Amino acid sequence: MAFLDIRTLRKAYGSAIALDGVDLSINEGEFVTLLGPSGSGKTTLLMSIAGFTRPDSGTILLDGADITGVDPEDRNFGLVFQGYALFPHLSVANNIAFPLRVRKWDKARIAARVDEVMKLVGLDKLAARKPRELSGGQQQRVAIGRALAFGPKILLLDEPLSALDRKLRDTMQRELKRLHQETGVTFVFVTHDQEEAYAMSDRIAVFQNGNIVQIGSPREIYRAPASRFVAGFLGGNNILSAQTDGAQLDLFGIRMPMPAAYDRTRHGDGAITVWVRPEDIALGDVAPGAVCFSVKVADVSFVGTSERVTVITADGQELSVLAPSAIARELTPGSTATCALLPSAIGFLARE
Amino acid sequence: MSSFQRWAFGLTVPAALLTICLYVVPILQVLALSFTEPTFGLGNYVEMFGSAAIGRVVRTTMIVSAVTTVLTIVMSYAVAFALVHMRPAARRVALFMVMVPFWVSVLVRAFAWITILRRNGVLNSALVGSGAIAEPLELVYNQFGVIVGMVHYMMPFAILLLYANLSEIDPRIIQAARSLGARPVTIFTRVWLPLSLPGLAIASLFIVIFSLGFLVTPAILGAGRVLMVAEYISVQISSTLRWGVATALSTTLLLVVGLLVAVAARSPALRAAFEGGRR
Repeated sequence: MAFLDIRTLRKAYGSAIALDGVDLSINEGEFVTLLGPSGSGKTTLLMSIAGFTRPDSGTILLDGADITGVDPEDRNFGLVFQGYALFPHLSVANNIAFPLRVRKWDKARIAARVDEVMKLVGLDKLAARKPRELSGGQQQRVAIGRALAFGPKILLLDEPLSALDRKLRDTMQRELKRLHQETGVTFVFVTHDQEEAYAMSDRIAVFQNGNIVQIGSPREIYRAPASRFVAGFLGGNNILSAQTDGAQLDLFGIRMPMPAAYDRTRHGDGAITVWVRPEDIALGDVAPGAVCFSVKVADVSFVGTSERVTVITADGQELSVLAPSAIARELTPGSTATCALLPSAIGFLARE
Repeated sequence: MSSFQRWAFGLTVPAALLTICLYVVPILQVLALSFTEPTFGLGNYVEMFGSAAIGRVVRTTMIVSAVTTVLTIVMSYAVAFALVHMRPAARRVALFMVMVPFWVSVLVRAFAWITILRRNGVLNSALVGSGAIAEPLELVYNQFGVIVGMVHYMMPFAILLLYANLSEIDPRIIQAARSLGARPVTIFTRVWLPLSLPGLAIASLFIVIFSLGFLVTPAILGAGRVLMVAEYISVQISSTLRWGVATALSTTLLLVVGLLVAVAARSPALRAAFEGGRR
């Protein structure tokens, strides 16, 4: 049995369904990310685990015991809020000591633990500061330290990095990963940012309309999105229409042998939907076994490490391609170019 | 200063001039009377500090003001706390009821309390009629009646001041305290109370200052038997025509209030209240 078991959890706010029978099992010590667009139910699920949202039906089991009706103050889960929710009237040390005082630890034990936690989250020199005297990243560390101080069974994090700038976010991602490894606490992390999810998680649960539509490791989800929604939500994937008779594939008006990933019973035949990652399409150079097709360049935009080139295929489909700057620089909108694609890079979506 | 700022500043000049000419100057003139009436010197102040009658008035004023402030703050805090926890629809109704007294003249409210509290009034009749008491209670024309009337007058102000403070407290901070294992009593004493200190400080200051100079309600509900400073001054000015003593007392009252504000403004809690969002 899993450590935390969520069974057919339902929650509606009036006519809006926030959770539509969610099932999720989390193992002890796992880092699970709930990923989805806003309003998809991920925060409602997190707040249900925390105990602040009462589900309409369904159960939450912790180590086999039903905790669905237990008050948040009795669950012993750490919770890190969006915006941190530090106590503004207490110093850093007293914020971290708060859960320990509530639990009536003796003074020496509290002092020792506060010291230990502040070292853990890298705040040892700021004990006397008030939250308003700290930067966003430091406040974040206090919030995490406070939530970990009392040794919670699970740490719940509600989009904690969304208010930080990009560089700080990268640092905090590594910090969270380190804290997860050092403490061994089970982390449940909510975000709408796929890169954040990929960087830290053992498993990602993708939410859509109050349901988990796919759950798996970051690589699984990236390589094999289960539905059109997942393929589209996970950033920049090309979702394309194709034709097949079951033996050969017609894509961009080019006929090619059917890739091995195709399964007639799951993916159907006739008009089907496929996806291709932008980085799997090559502009110009042709690898052995690749299929070539000519396109019209619509737009070239610089995205940092490479260029994102938007092209129109012969059958009028828009295609996003990531290309090295050296190649993309040669292209001007309106010109024609040749793209190459390995048939094995084509993914198929199940019939819906 | 930009030209817009100059214009904006210029627009405040008429109101400032009006206030200075028609309010500040006359007040200073009246206060100056305390040194010149009937003869030049500090005679009025010597008389004031020596007078047993004025001593009693000051003591009454301090007791009534203190009790009024404590009762007003405690009860208003309870109401404001409840307001913060209400659903929006219920809160709109409750806030409306808090504001209703603002539309009723203070005179009408004082006389309404008399009809309720006097010997054969609504409350005594009900209590005697139900057999709870044999003799009617003395509920008005004494300190009790004055305090009831004053607390009733002050509560809406205190409720609104405290509500403004409490509703600024981020509900996620309270949730955070719960997630950290704190129970309701702990959350109240360790989180709500410290975070509402600025509101409590400013509401208390407001009520104390208001109470010290309160005239109408003590005059009507005290009926001359509970003499507070403002009524004493009014009697000296309009009936006994001892303007010198009256203005000396007014000057002292003004100084005391000024001192209270100055001291309070130095306290961290009140500074936080004045600084507001900058916390």
